[in-house]
Amino acid sequence: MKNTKARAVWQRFRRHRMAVVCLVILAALIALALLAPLIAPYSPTKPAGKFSQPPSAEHILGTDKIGRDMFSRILYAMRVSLLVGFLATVVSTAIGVVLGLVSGYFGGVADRLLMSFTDMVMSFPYILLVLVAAAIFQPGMWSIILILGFVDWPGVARLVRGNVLSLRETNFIKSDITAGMLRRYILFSEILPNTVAPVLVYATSVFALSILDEAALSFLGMGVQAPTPSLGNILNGAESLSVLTGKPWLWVPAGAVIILLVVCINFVGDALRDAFDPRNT
Amino acid sequence: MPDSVPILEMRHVTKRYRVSGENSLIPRSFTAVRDVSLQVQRGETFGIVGESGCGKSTVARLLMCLEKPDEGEIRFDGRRIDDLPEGRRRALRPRFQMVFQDSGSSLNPRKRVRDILREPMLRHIGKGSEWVENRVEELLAMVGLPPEMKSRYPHEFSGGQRQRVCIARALSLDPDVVVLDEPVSALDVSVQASILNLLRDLQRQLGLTYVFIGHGLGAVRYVSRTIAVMYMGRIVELGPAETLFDRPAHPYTKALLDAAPVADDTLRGRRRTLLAGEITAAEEAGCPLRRRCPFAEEGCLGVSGELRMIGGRQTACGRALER
Amino acid sequence: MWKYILKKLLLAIPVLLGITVIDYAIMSLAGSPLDMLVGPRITEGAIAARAAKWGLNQPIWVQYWNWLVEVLHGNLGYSYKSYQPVAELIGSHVGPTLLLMGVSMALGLLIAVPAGIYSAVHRYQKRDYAVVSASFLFSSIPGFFLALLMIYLFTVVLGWLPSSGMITPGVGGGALDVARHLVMPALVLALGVAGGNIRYIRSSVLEILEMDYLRTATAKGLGRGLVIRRHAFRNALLPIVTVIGMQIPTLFGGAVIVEQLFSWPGLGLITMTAVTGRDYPVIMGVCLLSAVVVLASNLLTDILYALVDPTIKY
Repeated sequence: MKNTKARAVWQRFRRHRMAVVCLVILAALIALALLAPLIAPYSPTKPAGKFSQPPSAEHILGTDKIGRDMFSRILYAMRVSLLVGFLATVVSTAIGVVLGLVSGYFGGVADRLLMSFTDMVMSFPYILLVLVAAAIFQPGMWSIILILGFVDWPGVARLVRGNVLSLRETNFIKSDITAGMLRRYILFSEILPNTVAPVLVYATSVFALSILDEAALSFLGMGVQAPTPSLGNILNGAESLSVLTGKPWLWVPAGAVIILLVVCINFVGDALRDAFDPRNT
Repeated sequence: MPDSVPILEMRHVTKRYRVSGENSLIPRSFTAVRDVSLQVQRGETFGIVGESGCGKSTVARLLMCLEKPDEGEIRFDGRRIDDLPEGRRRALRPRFQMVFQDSGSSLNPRKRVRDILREPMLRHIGKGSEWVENRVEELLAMVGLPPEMKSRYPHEFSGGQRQRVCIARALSLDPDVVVLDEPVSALDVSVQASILNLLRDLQRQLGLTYVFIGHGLGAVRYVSRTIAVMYMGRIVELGPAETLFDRPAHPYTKALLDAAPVADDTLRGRRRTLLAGEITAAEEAGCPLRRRCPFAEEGCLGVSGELRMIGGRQTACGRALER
Repeated sequence: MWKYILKKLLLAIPVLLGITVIDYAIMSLAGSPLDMLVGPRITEGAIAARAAKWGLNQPIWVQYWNWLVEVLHGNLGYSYKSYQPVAELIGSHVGPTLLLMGVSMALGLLIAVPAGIYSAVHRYQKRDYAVVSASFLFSSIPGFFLALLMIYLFTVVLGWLPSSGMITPGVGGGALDVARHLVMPALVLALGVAGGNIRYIRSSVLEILEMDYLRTATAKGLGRGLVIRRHAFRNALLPIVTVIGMQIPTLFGGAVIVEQLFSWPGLGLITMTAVTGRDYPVIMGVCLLSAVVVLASNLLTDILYALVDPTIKY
């Protein structure tokens, strides 16, 4: 059954205890984010108390400068940041996979053109591209998702292309050709499934990076816009020295959550890489 | 002389590969196959022998239209197939199939045998999936494997069993010709015999035509009716198997024969034709064997490599006969 | 050797052109790039004349060509906000950024290389895990958060380091003053890239250590320290060169955020200001420059490779 393969991967994954812990933490955080509308005690955008109150019984993480409950804000912010990170990863992975497949399988002029284009895009420092795109197209949650997605694909494309190039020379692909199988079949039914594992591992690091990038962008004001909370724009308030020194509850939790998310995703991704490698029996 | 249309044919085929050096902007080319012509008759086994690098695998790939020839033609059943667009050629593909040397890489490691065998049949044969399921079991039985094995993954088989699966796959589309590229070279000697016997039985049963490629004379000799000997991209001798083995004309053929281990003790001290040194880079002028051949003379520099009829077979050089 | 360099240079030219095309294309989305080249102090008549000469009625490749010619002459346009020529603006801010990037790179290497080697040599021991975990942590902290933490610690709590600008107003500059201002931004940048670099160096050194020729050397009786120092190090130069090459685009990106936070008067600062202010001529000027710099650094890395790695034929 297909389960034996999946089970083997899971067995190998389980050996990394840190990663399993991280997976649990991640699942918990995602659950919290998904359930935010149900769990959050207050609205994230409407003031609910006095301004800039330190943590108390009614507001676990205090209130911000216009009186909004910080705990609720963080919950919703996690939701937004995870969503943006996830969707951006999906977009860039989809683009990268398609381009990588085309480039690797068809080769020739298309390949060379695509790879030169990839080189050129990669020459622009990543942040600049994103910032410029955000400047030209108005910033906002959905434009950020698209922007990040359209800037992140080169890595995936390169990876997939490399995989396809090596798979293309294998005998079982040649057998498919001699059996007269359609190119569509060869690409999607034979090559693609064999590329899934490395792409999945790479996608976890893209996910982590996307979360960090969204936070940075929102922090700079070019990402998710107020009043929608995101882990980045919550930290924006900390730029003023008074907040930084006197009101740690306004910025430390948001930063801590980002670090926690990214660390967990990285650990899981690392363990996935080892788990997929059949040489580690 | 054969008077029917050969089922598979190569006419003056040349194939070059581009070799790019990191340091030169001008790409150089390496001629893998040079002016090769051969005809495979229906129902026979056509053997191709030569040492590693002689171009025989390239010939296999050309015959299967996995590569396009730079010069010359490939014909199937009289029809030219090398210049067909793949869309048109696809309809013909089931009629000529291939078995590769390395069975490990010939089967998708992520698919079960059942699916590997099913997919091409579903694509080409218009019968329903139930018919195909039965056929899968039939094929496995034909190659000597228990039908239950269809649910297994390739890595769960031994090398010999895997090769049987590959043979089953080749047969699944009911081909006229099967090209076998060193099908037993990677297997243990004991297994080799059983696979060769299987191939022989199947040929008789199904009326197949084989193109059998090997580097050792042993296996090729066992199955072939016609043999082509290749050296550095060229055919140096081509003819009926017995003629080549009893009275080899080309020095290279003789050297191959003499080098093969023989079980007969009485032949222990026999005089062998040995080739000096190892294969060198391509020679542009004259006979490619010139530098290693014990019969070589000055005149060999001007030899064109064209095949002539000598003693019932084609050969580029008749020196070995004269001795 | 020179043929190799020449070949690489020749191959880089189409990419360079492609970059200008992309730059031009993006600018067109924001407005007319040719308009951006036109200065502010110009009369109505001159505008009309210029529009006719370069204008929007020309086919797009002619517009592109005109733009490219102007750029090559050093005309990168004029800032929408300050009316300063972009080239001048960039020129006056390049210095501090170069300083920051240079120091960050040096710091980054100083942290990553010894840590990576140390970790590799003590593989699988507690020390190794500690280093690897630390590097994981560092690559997971968003740069700006790290900056905030450092400002909190070093400026607010300890009062040791200034948190903005390059020089203290009134003190008049001087190397020590600049250095004090430089410490935190450079550290933030260096630690940001240190995470990935430590792990990269570690795995490269591990690969080298496992190579058979090292075992042979050890078997020959050379002491372990000598083996590591003499044989491993020379081969470790290669990944170090890779790391240097990889860092330049990352550092540039990181500099944008860091300069903003620490009010460091470099390219990153004017870029951020330009972005928030939608000052497109400045933005595109910086983009073009940085892309060219990245291309140049890739080229440099390739050449350094050829020098360091004897297996590359040239």
